[in-house]
Amino acid sequence: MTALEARDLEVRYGKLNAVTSVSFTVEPGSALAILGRNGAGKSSLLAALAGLVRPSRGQVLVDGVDVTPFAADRRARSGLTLVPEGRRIFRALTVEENLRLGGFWSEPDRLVADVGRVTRLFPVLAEKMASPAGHMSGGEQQMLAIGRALMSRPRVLLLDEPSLGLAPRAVADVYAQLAVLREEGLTIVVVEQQVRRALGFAADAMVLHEGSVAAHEEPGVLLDDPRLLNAYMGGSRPT
Amino acid sequence: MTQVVINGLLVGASYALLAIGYTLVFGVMRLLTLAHGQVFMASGAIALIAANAYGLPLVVAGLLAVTIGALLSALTDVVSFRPVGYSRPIAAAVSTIGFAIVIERGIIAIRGDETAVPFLFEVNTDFRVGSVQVSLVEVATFVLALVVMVLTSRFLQRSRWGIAMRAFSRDPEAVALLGVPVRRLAVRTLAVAGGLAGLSAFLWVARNRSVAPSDGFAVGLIALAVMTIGGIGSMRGAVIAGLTLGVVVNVLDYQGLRGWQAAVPWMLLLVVLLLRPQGLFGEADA
Amino acid sequence: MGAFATVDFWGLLGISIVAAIGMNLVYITGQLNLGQAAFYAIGAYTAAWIDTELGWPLPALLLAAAVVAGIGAMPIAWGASRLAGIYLIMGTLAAGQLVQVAFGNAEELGGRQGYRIESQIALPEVAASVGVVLILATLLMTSRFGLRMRALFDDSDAAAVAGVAVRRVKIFSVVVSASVVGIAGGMWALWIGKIEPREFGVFLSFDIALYSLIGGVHSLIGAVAGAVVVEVLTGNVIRDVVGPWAFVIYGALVMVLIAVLPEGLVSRSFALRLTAPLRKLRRRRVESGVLSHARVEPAGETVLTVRHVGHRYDGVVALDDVSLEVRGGEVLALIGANGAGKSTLIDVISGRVPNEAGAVTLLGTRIDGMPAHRRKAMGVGRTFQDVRTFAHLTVEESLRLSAADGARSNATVEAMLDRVALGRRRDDLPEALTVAERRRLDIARAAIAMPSVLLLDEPSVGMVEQERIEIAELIGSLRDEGMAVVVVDHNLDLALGLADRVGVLDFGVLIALGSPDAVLADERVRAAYLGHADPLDGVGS
Repeated sequence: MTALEARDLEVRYGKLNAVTSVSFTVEPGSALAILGRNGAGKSSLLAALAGLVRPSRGQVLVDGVDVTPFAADRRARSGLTLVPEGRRIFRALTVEENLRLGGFWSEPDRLVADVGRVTRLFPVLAEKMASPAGHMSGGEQQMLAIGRALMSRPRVLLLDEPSLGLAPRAVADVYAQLAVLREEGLTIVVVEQQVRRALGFAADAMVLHEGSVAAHEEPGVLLDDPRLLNAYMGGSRPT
Repeated sequence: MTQVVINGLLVGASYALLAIGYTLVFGVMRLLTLAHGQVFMASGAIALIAANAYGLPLVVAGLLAVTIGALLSALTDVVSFRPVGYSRPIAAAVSTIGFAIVIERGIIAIRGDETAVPFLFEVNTDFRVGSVQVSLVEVATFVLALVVMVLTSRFLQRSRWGIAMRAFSRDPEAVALLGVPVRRLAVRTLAVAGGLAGLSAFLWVARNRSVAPSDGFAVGLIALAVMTIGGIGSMRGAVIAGLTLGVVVNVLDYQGLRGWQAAVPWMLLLVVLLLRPQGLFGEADA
Repeated sequence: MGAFATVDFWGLLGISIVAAIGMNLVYITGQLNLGQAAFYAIGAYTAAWIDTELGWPLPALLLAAAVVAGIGAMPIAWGASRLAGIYLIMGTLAAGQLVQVAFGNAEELGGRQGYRIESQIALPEVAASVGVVLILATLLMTSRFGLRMRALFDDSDAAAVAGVAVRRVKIFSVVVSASVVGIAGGMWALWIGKIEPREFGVFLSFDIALYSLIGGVHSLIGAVAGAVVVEVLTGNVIRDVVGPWAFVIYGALVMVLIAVLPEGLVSRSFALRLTAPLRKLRRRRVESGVLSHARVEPAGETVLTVRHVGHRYDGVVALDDVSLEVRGGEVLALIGANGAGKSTLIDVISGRVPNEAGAVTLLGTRIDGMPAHRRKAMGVGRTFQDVRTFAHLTVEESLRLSAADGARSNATVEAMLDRVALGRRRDDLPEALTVAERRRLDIARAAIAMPSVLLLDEPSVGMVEQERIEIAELIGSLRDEGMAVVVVDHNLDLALGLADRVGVLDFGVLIALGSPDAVLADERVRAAYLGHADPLDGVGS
């Protein structure tokens, strides 16, 4: 059974088609990278998967269950969690409170266990438990955002530009931990603009161009595919 | 003068109690309900109408007021906030004007006129402490205001719903992404605030011995001013601002400036808005 | 339905219409004033007192009511311009309450007992007053100044960039609105014959606000409609039929209308359709004019200088010691990954965000520190990445708003409409335009005042190839007229095909600046664009 499936998804904002007829499947424990330039529809696609916008057509299935009618909070409870672009941690809340929110539905015992798991994954969080999340560095905030999402024990984790604004070192750290999570069986969909980074991480890559799938290949194939550069840089390039 | 200040503190406690609920709604939802005063008034009025008609005991009438307050307040989300949409704060505030009109005029229509509903219970209230005379109801209001402040603050600090409420005020979407049921969160916030409005309404009618439909705005708008002065979202701010306002108003009365009392909350509000818009104890918006 | 025939209904309706027009004049700038009862009261007391003490004729009475209410509004307008959203609501509410208390304490004006007046205003005089106010308000709203007010409703940031002095316009609108509401108050005093402070409570302010919100703020027809609906719903007629539940129905209808009709009964597009014949009639054939340069610089001269500019957001460095120059008649393309600081640099140059370090100089004048609308007047034009069109201004109005002052602006607008091929769209709202048309409108708006430097933030996002080519041609032609153009674009094709020089930003640092070929050959640039293949990167497979 596939962990996540999108069937013919379409997202419209008024007259504008942000996502047109996108379909894909992701197997449990594997990772899909979604690439494309600004405005290609990547974030809209993630929003539709997570339930932040209602697709005008198509379905989203998690473990074979149609979650399309669910709002974002119910999708999260169904095992599909988005780490939004820009992290969006609660800056005024402490690190611990951020994590507790992620485990909103957990019993106290499970909460303790999950906090332990997240801090083993991101040890830096353990040191800053009681300090306001806003005081942390960008990389630490990204780790908190991922850790917070993990607290609900998702089966599918969606990440929107986790490298945005982070120093290269922090990006490497974040991806190293994502790889660990994937090994543990978590299904990951990542929207990433650092193409090489994403292609190095994912088993499967999809290029969006003007809201549609321009290519869907293995990373090794895609890296040499002119369609990738085209989608990023637009049109055919002289020289 | 001691008597004047103590009376002021006791009057201020009822502003504070109402403002705590107000600041909870605004602090969590970042939406302004202009119907909070009507929720306050209606919960007191309906509880009294029922108590007078069916001879309910005092405690039952009080519980009824709390329940009605919670229900009516939660209804604000259903009839105003949700239909208008959380992303249109101005329109949502204006919609609550409509809700305020419905509640106030509904009470008048049910009653048949605009007169006050009397409080018929015999509560032996006054007692003396040294040279100062105080009423039991007022002391109870004062104590309850402090207790409620402490309990609500603790609730917000420690419980998972409280943490979710604080997070919701900054980024509702991010809260939903974590699986927190945001609709239930909104309704619960309003219900708690409404319950507090019902409680303060009942204490208020016990002291004033009646409640009139027009008291909704008269008291509700003062609570709005108190909330803003204290700092939106700050329980401590609501209490301190409420008590301060009570004392200032009472002292003005004592000094023979009765006509200008009503100006005090608004002057303080304007000063706060211009100098420190987040209020005395509020956090600046991040 | 006999009640509609009463003089009283029509008189009060006329007065409500005047108040509704007053409300529209302030809410159109996005400021919801919930303290209008204050100005209504000031107008009422002014008219009443002058009538009793000085016995002036009616027009003078109402003029005095307008002037005094306007003066009274000045401090409130100043305060309100510092507030926004719900804080503005509370501030104006407070102001309204304070004025009511003040009149209750004004013993010379009868205190709580109120004030009695002998003179009366007759129905024809009410009608004439409504007519005069309506005409004056129409003139204001269709003027250039009215355009500036209306632009604020949609987007005050974009309005500032279009040259609107945001605070000044907001203050003016509160004052002029108060004057009109003051006239309504004066009429009301003369109609009723006795005024008491308790009449000027918060419910009056709410009713006045609801005229606008229910009727529609984007046209004066909306104000009239709102006044009619509210007056009918709260009037005697309904009360006779449904009894005490009339107001309950009114309150419920308010909730329904606010939720269902966000723009009120008369939406902007509906109003446009209603007035279409009028516009056709009025539109003189304007000979197609020529775009006139505000300042023509010899090509090749340095127009814009950015020196050591830095900016941080939230602890993240967005710009770090960036220096560059842009010359007249050249296109400088800025490229780089998301979050590299390209848009921030445009924001800093155009005055949307302050620079924390360094200097920005336009034609030898330091412009950092100036507000956005002054930089626009100095010759800075810009577009926004997320196409900030004014949702309630037509294409032509948007251009008229952004055109430089002067008698030739009509011809300039016509020329620009031709140039961006939007002539047939002149009376359409942005929602009716395609993505490409909106972009062209956006660029046209930024370019119509012939700025010395034109900053374009991702002008080709979301476009198909053909549309991109058209945009590139448009940008090229503006460059050929001598403008210094800075283009941020993800589409390297567009940027490189057009650019005379290319700058590459990476983590806020300008890592390369030079000819397109040289920059493209730079290995660091390719790395920045496709992601870092740094030594820590151990995920090769």
